[in-house]
Amino acid sequence: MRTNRTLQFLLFALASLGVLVLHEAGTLAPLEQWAANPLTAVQTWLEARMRGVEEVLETARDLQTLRQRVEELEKQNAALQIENVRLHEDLADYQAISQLLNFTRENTQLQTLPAEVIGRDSNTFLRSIIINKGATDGLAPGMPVVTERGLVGRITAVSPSSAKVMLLTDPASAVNARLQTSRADGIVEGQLTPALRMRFIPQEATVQTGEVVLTSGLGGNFPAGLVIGQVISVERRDVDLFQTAEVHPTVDFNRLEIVLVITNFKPTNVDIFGGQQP
Amino acid sequence: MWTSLAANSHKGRLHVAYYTVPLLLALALGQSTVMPYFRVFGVMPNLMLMAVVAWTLLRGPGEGIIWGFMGGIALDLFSRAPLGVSALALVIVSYLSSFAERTLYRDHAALPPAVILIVTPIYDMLTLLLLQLTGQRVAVLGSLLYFTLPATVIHVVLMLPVYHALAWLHRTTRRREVHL
Repeated sequence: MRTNRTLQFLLFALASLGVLVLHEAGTLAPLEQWAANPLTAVQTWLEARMRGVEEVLETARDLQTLRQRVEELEKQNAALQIENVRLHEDLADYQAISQLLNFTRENTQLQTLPAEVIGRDSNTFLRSIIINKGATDGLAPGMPVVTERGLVGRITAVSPSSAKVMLLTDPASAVNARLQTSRADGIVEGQLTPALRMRFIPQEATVQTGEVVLTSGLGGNFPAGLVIGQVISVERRDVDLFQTAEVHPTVDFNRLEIVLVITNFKPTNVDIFGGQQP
Repeated sequence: MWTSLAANSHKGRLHVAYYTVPLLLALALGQSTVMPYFRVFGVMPNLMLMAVVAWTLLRGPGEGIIWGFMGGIALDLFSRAPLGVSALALVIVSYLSSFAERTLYRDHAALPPAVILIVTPIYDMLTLLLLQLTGQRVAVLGSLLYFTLPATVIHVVLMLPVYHALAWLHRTTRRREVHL
């Protein structure tokens, strides 16, 4: 048995050696070429199939990677969009604050406190806003409220943390005003339409369209020189004692976000607001 | 037995208060902060008025009037109007609306818009009258023309969605009655 195995080994070893020798001698070359042709074809076919399989596997792997990438990019996109919105808001706030700062720089005699508009009057017939500063911040009824564009109104009621501001457009609002060029005085009143009405302008005054209307300071309820608006039309009839003008307010009352409360102005009479003298 | 009934009734009222108070406060807050951005023809819809009328039609004057009172107080907290003006106007409007709830047409789909069509001008007139009486300067005739007319149209259009939203709340929160 053992002899057979040794014989088998020797036989195959010799055969291998013989093939090696013949190969080295070049004798087997034609045979090798003949055998290689079909093998190459099979190999090519198999290789192509394997590449296909590999591509499929790779695509599956890529799909997984792509999905992860898309997910990551979507998250990044959402985060960037949120940041973009926040930056736009910051920019708008910055612009508003910077304009208000310019106003305070130009009016150094006025001490102001910035406040945010947090609500509007829930009653359709009243025009007022609610701001996020109140009695604990030193606010009191009668204090004028402005923006960099001009007069907004005055505080009518305060709670510890908020205050209600009657807007110039409220039908109950009346402000002593002066026309900048003609120097004529009158009273600017709110009405139902967005425009204001300046009444009691003396007949002899020459009022021009486009003329700027300012607070006159008369009556002591507002500091003098605050911008109210511009005259858009004048109504003058010989039979009347006074002229009347339509005034377009410089403040956009529908877009109020941040306002300034003038804290160092003492109104002379705030009884009509039902509040205490500040 | 009576004690038990009274206790149950008290619990029921407390149960109502759990959602009524936050809901009405949220409505008043929305009226002051959200609705100004949804002005139509310069007029903002009065959600509280629509809610009170709808609730009166759904639950009757008992709860409707309570809603009117609490909702009105909540509204006035966010207004320059003296506290109680909206409450009184809404209580009256709720009481008037309850007459429609007692009619044969109480389940008719057109009833809520029809009722709001009638009560919106009444509510506005009452509010203007109360504002005048409390010393507020308001332009009564101008306000009625400028605000009430468009507001009535807007309320008629919006009443059905508001009514259906509250009908869902009504179905969800009504107490089940067990007859033995």
